[in-house]
Amino acid sequence: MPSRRVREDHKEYRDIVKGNVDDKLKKHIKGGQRITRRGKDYVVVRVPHVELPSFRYGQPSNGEGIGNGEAGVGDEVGDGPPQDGGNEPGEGGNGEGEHEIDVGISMDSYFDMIGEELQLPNLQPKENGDLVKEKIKWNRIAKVGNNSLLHKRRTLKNAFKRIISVGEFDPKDVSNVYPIKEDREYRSWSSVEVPDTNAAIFFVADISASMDQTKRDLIRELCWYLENWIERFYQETQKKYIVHDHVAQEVDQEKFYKYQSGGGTQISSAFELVNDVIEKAFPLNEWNIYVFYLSDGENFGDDNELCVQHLKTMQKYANLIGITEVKAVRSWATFLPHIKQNINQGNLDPTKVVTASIEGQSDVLKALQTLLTPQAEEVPF
Amino acid sequence: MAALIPDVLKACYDNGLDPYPLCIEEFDADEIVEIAAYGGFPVRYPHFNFGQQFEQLHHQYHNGFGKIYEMVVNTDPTYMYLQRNNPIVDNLTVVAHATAHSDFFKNNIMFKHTNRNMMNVMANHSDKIRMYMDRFGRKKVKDFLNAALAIDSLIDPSLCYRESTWKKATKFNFEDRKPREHVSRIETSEYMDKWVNPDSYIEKQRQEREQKEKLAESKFPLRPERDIMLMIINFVRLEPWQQNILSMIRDESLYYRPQGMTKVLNEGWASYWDSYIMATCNFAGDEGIFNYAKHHAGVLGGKYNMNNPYKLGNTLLRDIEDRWDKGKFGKEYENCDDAQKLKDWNLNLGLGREKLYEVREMYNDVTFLNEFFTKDFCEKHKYFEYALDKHTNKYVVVSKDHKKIKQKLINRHVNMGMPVIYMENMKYKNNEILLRHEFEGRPLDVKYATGTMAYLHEIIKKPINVLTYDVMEEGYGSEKEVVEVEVRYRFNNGEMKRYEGSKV
Repeated sequence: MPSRRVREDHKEYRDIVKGNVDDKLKKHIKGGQRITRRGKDYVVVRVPHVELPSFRYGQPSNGEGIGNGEAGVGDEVGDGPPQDGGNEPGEGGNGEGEHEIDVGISMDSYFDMIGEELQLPNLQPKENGDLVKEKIKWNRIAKVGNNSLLHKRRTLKNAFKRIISVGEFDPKDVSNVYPIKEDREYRSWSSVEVPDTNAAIFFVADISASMDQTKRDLIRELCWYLENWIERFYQETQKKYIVHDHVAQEVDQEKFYKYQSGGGTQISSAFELVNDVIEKAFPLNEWNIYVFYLSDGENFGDDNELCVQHLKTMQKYANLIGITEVKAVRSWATFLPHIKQNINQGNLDPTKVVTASIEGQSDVLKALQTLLTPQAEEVPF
Repeated sequence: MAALIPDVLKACYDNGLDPYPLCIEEFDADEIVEIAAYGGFPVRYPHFNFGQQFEQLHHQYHNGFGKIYEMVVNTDPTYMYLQRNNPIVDNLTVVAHATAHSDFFKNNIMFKHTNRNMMNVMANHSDKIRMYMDRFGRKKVKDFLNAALAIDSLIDPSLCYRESTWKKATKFNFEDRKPREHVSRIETSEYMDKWVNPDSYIEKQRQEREQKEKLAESKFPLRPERDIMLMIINFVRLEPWQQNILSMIRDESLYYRPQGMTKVLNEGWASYWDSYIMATCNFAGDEGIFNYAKHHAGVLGGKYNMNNPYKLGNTLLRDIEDRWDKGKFGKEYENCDDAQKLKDWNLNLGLGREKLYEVREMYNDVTFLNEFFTKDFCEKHKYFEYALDKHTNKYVVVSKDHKKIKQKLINRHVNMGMPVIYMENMKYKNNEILLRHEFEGRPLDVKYATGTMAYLHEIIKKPINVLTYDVMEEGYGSEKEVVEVEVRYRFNNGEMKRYEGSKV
């Protein structure tokens, strides 16, 4: 338990960072809950950090520095700073990380933090509690079995017991202690019934020509959060990736983030495919279904109504349908307003269908929050 | 564990280390995180920065991404903190390592004027600041404290090893001081006076004096002064408590400065000794050596990781020891141009250890790198210089020139990698403050400069100016060249303005 003085100083720091106190220091806050690197089960987070200014050198304009290693003149030794940084001006090269503070934390505690900070609700599996799954547990002992399953310790114990009970045991000479057939015992299993919670997550994205790399990176970021958050609540999750231009197709994860097509946009094709896949492969009483649609909101005008029809089918079985617009150009993006209108008119269920829009990196967490807290979204009057 | 410590210490003393008395304390993991957040001092003034440190260390520690190995405080006696749950070999290593640090604190010239009673001094500072908070209001004092901390690097680092010319921080009115009326004459007989001290000579002196007087009207201090904090304490109208806070922060900054100036050397020295005691003296034992190797790899790991001060310092010291053992120095060695002969050079002098003790006593990071970062060392460890290629957005190796690399490496350590700022004139344009940045090719970061000058303005309450240079590109294509332009930044009433050309 930390002592009082550190609790006071720590509270002061948290207050400044969270903006609870009106302070001049606000403009000296750097970084802030941003992930800089992702590992398999950990993330490196840039923690918010208050830095008092001092005179210091500006960063060299050509990103120069020194290092050492096996490299000849002209070799590449690393990637430059991100070029697209339209939303984050003033980001330095990776050689100059000294003003930022990165800490590595495990994935679990990171999402604990995120959950607490954004006040994300726990996801509720569907209420069919009778759904059970048989699971094998190796918790029994059998007299017969495969040699590879031989329980050596028990077998040898039995041998000792037998020898001692017939009075032939001599602690100095144990050469007569060896297991015979009756001593042998094997590991065996029993099946137990555990309540089963499965989730299927559908990520659906637009890959038409208007989706550039910046938008895709934002999508990737959001998907990573959604995926990891949902996985926390289910024993098993299956992820399906669907991309579409004017036709839809199912792809694997890598292609999902990489594919680029030049075609037009017909969103309904993707929803149709989702409905199709679910009908074929996911029995509804066993699966909790999450559908996330991500695009820049451009669609053929008369296709919007068709989408609403598909969504109506979908909302009957899905736990949550999230529709996200990434960096939309308002005059082109007709899709999201149409959906919103339908939600307001009561055609679509506001507890099931939620919408969000992302303009830049800083909106990703906000979008995560809106998508996962559907009740807080605008309720129709 | 406790039983083994005297043996480690004995091995240290036997090899010539000369530390202060040592105070070794054991703590739990949670406690050590807290102590580390406060830099090893039990009582510090209240400030969010310690809470921030705590948060970072706490995250790192509890998720297993960082271990706090050593915590040493430069005091007499030297305090070192061990973590109870670390393996015994790790803790013994820390004892050896920290003993070497203590020896360095005691004997390195940069620490000559360091206050060794800092535990008490820090506690007194804390008491005073808490008292001021009660008396003048928490927020008021905290804001001033932040301002003081923002300028705490504007001190004169040479005070670490020389006596101050400003004897004591006392307040006196500098306008009252008048230059002497005296004109110097060469003593001679009355008869000779006319020739030895002619009227023209007297007149010249008088004029010089007048000029000086005139200059003093518009300029103070007459010569640029490095210790800006001290100038503010002495010559700016402040409340007594403000003056006191500034002088406390200045004392703390002066206390930490030598440690910043000798980071590479100090860590190198300590790493050298912990590996000598644990491995070469075989203190770790046959089993412990694995644990020790693990610890060592954690701290110094990576073949090409010379940005790590522990690694750079340690490798350089080993290089020095090797060179002086084999006699690879001096005119004869340097003038030899037979590659094979150079490679096999060995005079069996065995002066290595002696030289290391000399380096530990007489050098700081800048002089250390300047003297011992040789061309051979640079080539052996495959240093290179890189720059950003703007077309491909990749970092590309541009050269392996030893001199350029050395200059860049040293630049990182000159004034701890911070720009050198002088107090140029406190009577600038009658009522303004003029600072000057000693420009050596690298311009200031304007954003940070604005923040700092805002805090300076808050303390002094006068417009703050800083003279510096900007580096700009002029022309297009092949005729493009980099030019340095003198500029003056002026901060007043929350506004930063830039003057260039004739308006400087």
